[in-house]
Amino acid sequence: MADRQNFERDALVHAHRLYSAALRMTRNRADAEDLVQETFLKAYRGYDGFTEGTNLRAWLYRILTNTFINRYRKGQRRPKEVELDEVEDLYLYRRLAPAESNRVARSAEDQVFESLEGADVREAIDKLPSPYRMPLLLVGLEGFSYKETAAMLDIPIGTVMSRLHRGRKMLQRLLWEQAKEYGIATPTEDADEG
Amino acid sequence: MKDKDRCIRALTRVYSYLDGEIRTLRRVRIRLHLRNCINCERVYEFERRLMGFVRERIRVEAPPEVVERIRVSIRDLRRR
Repeated sequence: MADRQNFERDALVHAHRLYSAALRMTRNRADAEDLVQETFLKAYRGYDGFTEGTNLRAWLYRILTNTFINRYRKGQRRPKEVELDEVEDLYLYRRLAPAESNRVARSAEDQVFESLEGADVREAIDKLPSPYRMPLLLVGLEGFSYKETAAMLDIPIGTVMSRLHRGRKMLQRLLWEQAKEYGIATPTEDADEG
Repeated sequence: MKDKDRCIRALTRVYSYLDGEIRTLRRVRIRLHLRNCINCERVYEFERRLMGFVRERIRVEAPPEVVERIRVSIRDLRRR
């Protein structure tokens, strides 16, 4: 059983990461702030139920995710979300590899990474519909296991995996479209146009 | 097993591998393949870099007043 005296010391260090995740879940600052605040208050009240020595970060994320799903997701103003049509595997990599070889030149790769700002990446993530965005945030960004993520989202592991897979491909397509807007020239592009 | 099949196997498992969901023998098998196959190795390297890139770009600091507000409301609760 955890001691509430230690809550502030042990839990509050996670505030920044929880806020980053909350911002990508809610997609706006006001809701993200409320969501994080509510998460910490719930966590404080329920801290007796937390077993000390187990993963506090995972426990906090579970509360964060639950609170988001139960409260904020419904009736949230949605920014324009993308249609999830079929996107090929390794989408971005394939765009960068010249047709005649299947290897990406490091210069093309560097160009793409250098062209994309934090805001571009965040916007791209925000365009993913939430069933795809959530597994991506929990696994890809927070490093939770498929099993932990399945438990947090209350969906089967297989669903976590398939949504994660599609979400990643969509994200890659969005990032590629943004990089193209910045005028990234790639071997594949040249071949298409030439 | 043919080389081509080894590549197909490695490429279908790139995310499970990078997510740390493939363990023990399978993991070793993939690692050995990557050592011998520069094409697959580049894919893995690219996807790993992309994941790290996205992770890094998405992190933002919570505004100090937000953290402070949480701290204050926790202390409020404690006093009650």
